[in-house]
Amino acid sequence: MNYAYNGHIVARERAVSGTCDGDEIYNGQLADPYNDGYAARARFRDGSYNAIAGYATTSAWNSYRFYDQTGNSTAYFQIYSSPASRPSYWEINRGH
Amino acid sequence: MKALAVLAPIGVVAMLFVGGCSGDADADREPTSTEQAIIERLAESSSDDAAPGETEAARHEFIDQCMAEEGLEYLGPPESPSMLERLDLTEEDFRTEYGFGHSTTIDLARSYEDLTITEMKAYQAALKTLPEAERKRYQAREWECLELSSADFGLPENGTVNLPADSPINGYLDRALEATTNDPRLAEVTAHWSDCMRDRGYDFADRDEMGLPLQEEAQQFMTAYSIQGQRLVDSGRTWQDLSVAKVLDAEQLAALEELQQRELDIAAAHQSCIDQGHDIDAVYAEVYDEHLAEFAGS
Repeated sequence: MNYAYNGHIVARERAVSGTCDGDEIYNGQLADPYNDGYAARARFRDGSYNAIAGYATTSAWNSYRFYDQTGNSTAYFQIYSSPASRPSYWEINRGH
Repeated sequence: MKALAVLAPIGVVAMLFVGGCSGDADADREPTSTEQAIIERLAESSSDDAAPGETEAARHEFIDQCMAEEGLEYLGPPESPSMLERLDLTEEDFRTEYGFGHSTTIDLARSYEDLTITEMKAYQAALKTLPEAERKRYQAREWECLELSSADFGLPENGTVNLPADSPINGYLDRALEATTNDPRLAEVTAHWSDCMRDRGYDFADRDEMGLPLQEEAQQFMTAYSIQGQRLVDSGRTWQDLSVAKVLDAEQLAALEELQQRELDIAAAHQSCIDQGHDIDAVYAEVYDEHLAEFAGS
């Protein structure tokens, strides 16, 4: 998925093929194609867990991994960049 | 191909609302009729002078009507406004008050994050009031209306750009990004900006060199705020009441204040260079739009 600010892409995220297998591990990739002084970040919330799992500072895909904390292969996650760009909707990541 | 055009909006509904594990598709395919209309819209470049806020309001109204045509009441966009929008500040005003927002919004960020979660839950609760069949119909229609709105107003300026992972439009975005990154006009404005910053005492080749170390340095305070604040929240306080001054100890606060001042000083120099005409964002936007229009029109 692409995230825009001022009409151009500031962050991108994709699931690594095969990660949606219910093993409670989500493998994702994040990229930051815009040199604006902000990293692209992926935040996960799962039960009391609340932390940045993915981080990217260049346009190259940067792999990251999130371990499910509550044993249900479901977590909220959000992609964001600068305070001016809207963070993505808190998405429900199911099936990882 | 006709059948694809009809089925595509329904097929991607899940991806819109459950990310990550629904975004695996990566096959090339021909554009649907709506995607073709979006591509044609992109090829027109950004010739319309409407302010982003006006375009967004018009898009919202369009989706509202589009949903109403199917007898559905639009619940509004599932995204929250950005922190900057929430504070009702321009970028320049934000920069004056908060710098880049790395070390200066640690407590604000936590409250903001909670607010976006509350809003997300309210949105989901509103969706859940619909019977399952109606909810699916709502989501399918919403996706369809979002796509149609992009054909009329272009892709969203701020926030999630809702495209299926296998949309051919992604290819145009990729090419425009690469062409913009390699465009000499971007290199030129960045070099001038760098010179300007050097005149003000800062040696940065680009904005990532300026911002990323500050962001990294701020992380330790965010972590400390989060861990120490959680103890207070567990004993009955709320994040909204917890400024950094109420959570961090004196030594941490002193170190944070030093970082904040450094960030504000750099941000002031950066703003001064923008005011001198070295506005990388403006050049980037112009060059990107141009390349996107060029590829979409080819």
